[in-house]
Amino acid sequence: MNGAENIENLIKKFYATKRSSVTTSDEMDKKVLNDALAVYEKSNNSESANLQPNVWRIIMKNRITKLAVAAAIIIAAFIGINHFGGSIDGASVAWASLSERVGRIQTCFFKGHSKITGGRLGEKTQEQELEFYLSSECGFRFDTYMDGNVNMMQYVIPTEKAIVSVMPTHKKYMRMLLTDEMLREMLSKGADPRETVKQIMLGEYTHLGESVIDGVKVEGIETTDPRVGGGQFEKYLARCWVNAETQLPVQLEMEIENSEGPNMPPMKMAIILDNFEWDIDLDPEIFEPNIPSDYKMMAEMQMPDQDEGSAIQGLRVFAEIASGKYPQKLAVMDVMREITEAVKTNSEKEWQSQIISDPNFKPTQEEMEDIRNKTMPKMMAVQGTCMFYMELVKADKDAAYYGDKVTSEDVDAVLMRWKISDDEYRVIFGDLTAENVSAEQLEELEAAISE
Amino acid sequence: MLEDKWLVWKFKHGSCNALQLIYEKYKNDLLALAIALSNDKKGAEDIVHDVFVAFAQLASKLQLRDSLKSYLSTSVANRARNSSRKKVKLSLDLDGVEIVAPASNQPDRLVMSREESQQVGSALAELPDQQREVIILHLQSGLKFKEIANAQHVSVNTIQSRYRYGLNKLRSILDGEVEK
Repeated sequence: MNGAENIENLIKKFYATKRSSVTTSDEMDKKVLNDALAVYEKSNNSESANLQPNVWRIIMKNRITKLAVAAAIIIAAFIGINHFGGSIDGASVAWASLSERVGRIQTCFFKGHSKITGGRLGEKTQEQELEFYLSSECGFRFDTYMDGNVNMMQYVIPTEKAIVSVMPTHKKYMRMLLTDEMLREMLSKGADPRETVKQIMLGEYTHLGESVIDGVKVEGIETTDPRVGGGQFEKYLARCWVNAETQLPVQLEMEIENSEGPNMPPMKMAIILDNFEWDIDLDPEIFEPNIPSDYKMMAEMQMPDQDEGSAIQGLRVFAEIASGKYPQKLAVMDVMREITEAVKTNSEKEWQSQIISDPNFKPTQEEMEDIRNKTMPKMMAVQGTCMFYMELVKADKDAAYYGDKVTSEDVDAVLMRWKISDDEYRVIFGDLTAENVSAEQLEELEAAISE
Repeated sequence: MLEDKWLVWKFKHGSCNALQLIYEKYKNDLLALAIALSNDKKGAEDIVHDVFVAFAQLASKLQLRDSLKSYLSTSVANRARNSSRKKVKLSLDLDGVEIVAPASNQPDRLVMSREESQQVGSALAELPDQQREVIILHLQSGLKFKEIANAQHVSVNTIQSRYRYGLNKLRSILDGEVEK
């Protein structure tokens, strides 16, 4: 250490010592706040110094803001997965991410438009129109349309503790069952508006200043921090334009990009949500699936818990499909793609003998459906792992995942880790055992991965 | 940083709660800064009080060029500077600022003996105000040179020079103490 660093450290130490003994007195706090708030109220022409009305207004509107912005994140994941779903009806796997977001609101309706290019689409573009209905009493409904026809309708139904997804063009539907805890979290999350907004605003935001949208004066914020999307997207940009007067969102925009593997252009998605209507009368009938009797139920599944145990179970399920390998990344869309590839490879191996004896062999519709039905619970299990990891990322738990380097044979290698206290991490190893380790021990373990 | 942006946004849009939270978050750091700059605890409390009242008065007109912390810290520094011009410069005898005995659970790197602390304090008191101010803002409050330069309306080079000269002078004063 050179002389300059020595003197700097000495000064820092000096001020740290002094700083540790400096606290304001109650008397000082009272005087400063009284005087500052008095001036502030006067400056804002407030009628009363009473906090309650302001806080109430912020709570109401921030909950809805939170829901609207969170919905945009869900939608992006859902649409991306739906697009990716391919030959296995991947649309259903979006439920897991939807269900955790619904909070307590009064009513709200808004529309959206999404555009996807790249990935499996190549140079083509897929566009969908979206409609959302939110009600604190009745639940949540999300419809997607393509070329004017309804593609899917998803319902969160609190009274049934279920999420139902209906695909009219296929005459099929699926049900996802929720635990009491999951439902309670969905319906009650947002008690502290500051906390809920923090959950959304995970990254650094830039204030965009003022603008006008459809004749309404708005203020905007923008983030490009991928943590806001829970680390699910490689590139992420979100903008929220809020009516300066009502403090309610007027427009939400998202642009997302994710690589889709080798030999494929990256998937790009752009979403705009607008036409917000708040506290409107919504007919409870809107939230009833009313599934026609000739529709076939594809599956009824239990939503996995988002805890360590479920995360490990998801990794175990994936390793069983993928010959001991773990997902390269814990982004839902990437994992779905890997599972699809693994299932296809396994199926082709199973049918190899038949293909050899009959080159024209093709699996029957029933066989394909059987594969889909067996794969979906596995997808749900692994998606639980992704959602658990996403929550760790969003909560800034210094989470890391090494599935691209570690397999089930690397019994002592760190597969996943996150911070649990100042000096301690929780580690899941390659053999799917879990332990607490110190930061120092973790450093040694992770150095071994790099070697 | 993220929380600050949200707090500022709410503050500008009429949230008393945001103002209160901002005060709670920064009050101790700002008081420590004001004490370091003014050498006077009572005066430092008045400085922090005036800074927050002026801050509250700005409300929706507030325009932050850098961080909220930088804004508040430089507001304190400006008031401390104005205040010291009106007083006879006092040596940093730490009256009214109690030096706490090192806590046994504090890491060694943060612990300083009373004797060492007095030596450093005296050395700092011998610096020209401008050099001491830059050192305090950079090393105590963690402000970047660019933020300090913006607040004081001088170039970054000027700030860096003041910092460098200040550290050199401190070193020579403290080396002289060691030789004694």
